[in-house]
Amino acid sequence: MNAAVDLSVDLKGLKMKNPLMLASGILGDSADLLLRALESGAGAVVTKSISLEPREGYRNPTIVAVECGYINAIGLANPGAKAFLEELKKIKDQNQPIVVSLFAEDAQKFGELAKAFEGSCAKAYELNLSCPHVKGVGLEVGHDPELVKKIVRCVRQSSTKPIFVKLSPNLPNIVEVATAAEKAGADAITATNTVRAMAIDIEAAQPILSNKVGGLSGPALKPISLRCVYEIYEHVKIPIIGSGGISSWRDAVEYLLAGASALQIGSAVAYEGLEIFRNICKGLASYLGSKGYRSVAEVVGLAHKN
Amino acid sequence: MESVERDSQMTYTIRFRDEACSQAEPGQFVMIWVPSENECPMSLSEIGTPAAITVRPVGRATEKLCKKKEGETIWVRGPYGRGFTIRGASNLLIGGGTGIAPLIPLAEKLVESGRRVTLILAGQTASTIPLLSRARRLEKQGVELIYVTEDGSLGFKGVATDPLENLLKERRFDQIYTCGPEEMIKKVYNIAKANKIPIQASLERYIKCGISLCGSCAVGRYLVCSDGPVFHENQLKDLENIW
Repeated sequence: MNAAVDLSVDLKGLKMKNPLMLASGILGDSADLLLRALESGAGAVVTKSISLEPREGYRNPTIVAVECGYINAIGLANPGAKAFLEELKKIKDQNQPIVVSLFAEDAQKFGELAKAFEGSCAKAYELNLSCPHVKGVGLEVGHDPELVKKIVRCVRQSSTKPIFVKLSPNLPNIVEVATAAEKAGADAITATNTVRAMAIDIEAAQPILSNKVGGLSGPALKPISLRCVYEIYEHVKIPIIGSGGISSWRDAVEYLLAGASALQIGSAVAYEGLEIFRNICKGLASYLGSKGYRSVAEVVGLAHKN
Repeated sequence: MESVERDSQMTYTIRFRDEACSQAEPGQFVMIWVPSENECPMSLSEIGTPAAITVRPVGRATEKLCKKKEGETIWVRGPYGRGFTIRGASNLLIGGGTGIAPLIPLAEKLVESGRRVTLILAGQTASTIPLLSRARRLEKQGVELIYVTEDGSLGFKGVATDPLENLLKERRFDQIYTCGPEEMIKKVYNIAKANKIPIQASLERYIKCGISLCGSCAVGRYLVCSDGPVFHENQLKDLENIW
């Protein structure tokens, strides 16, 4: 790795050795696996989205591979706040860069969740206001700027931790919702979650996913999320975490240039395994070094200046 | 799909043609979709053309699967995961119940490459042990078969690990391979460890995505779908504290 290049990122107090985070939902809710992602080179990890009560999620098929990505509808399966708090206690070094993803039906429950994790090792919260396939939560609460404001304020009142707000690429006006989140006190915007999608099997003549509709991730999502990051960057001052189809250091650079200060990796873990974190860091450091940059921050949003 | 054969009182072997499965490693698994019902992980019990899975009908999806007729479509994705690695001249295989399924193609591969194989087949009662006819074919090719049943209806009366300990007192094996109920695997692992014999064990968890994304098949720091399903002794050691 290029020693002259500093890959570290401080995202409103979340200190990461590099800008790459494990995206929420990947590898699930086991403390051991989150630690393994960190050992494998991730700058931070975002947990599976956690709700107050446990959720079983959908029946299989919950994922289907399509031409240029995956469509999943896991159904926000999670053990619930109480069990997950116990899981987080297993982590010996409580200073690890762990972001807990939260979801709930309304602002008050979001506040309760944040309060529940206040004493945990979570270094920040990511509010899932964008899951595309579960009724009454995710995108269904994240499409309304006023509701988003209310949720962020409720979490802000319950917590001193940084708050990231994860938005959906399905929003007709993502800038409006991002701006609302910023006004309500969010510390960063994660752009984006997966985009609503479907696959049909022509032999069975039915949708493949048991939930019929899921979220598309992977290479197909990249140009869509990248545009979201670019647009949000023009209108908000808080940092943006780019997420959607990043599978190489070139993708990572594109997102940084579009305005992302940090990046999340999800589906690419299936293509390349956890080695992907080190591989992208290596490519990123070498790109930055070859262009004469000494830090990640120097290229963030550069595409807007050219 | 080519055929469905009832291979024991409890299990059906379903044969199908699939190019990727014809070249799979023993121990790898596939995800089988039964439309309108579910998608389930299954070990390959035959590798080649056709390939096969051996299914115990325990729910609506598996019941529908076992009622399929020749020529109907079967939805297969995979093969996924890490299979068994062949190493060593003398091999001891221990299978319990449907865990016998992936060990049969492994035994066949070991025999083809001229290695010595002892195969312990364990089950509740003789009629429920899957793939007996293929085991007997292997016996004709020089594989030593040892049966263990809980009711004593075939071979030793007891559990899989009973003959194992006696066997290891008499002879040395280079490698142990096992698949079956996790309680059995833990015991086999401890015996292998005490005797300093390398071991590979195929573990089972509820697999959803099959491709290392969702985490539903987590076991300690590993994912059964992509780090496994076959784990080696150095990985199994990491699981000692959660077992």
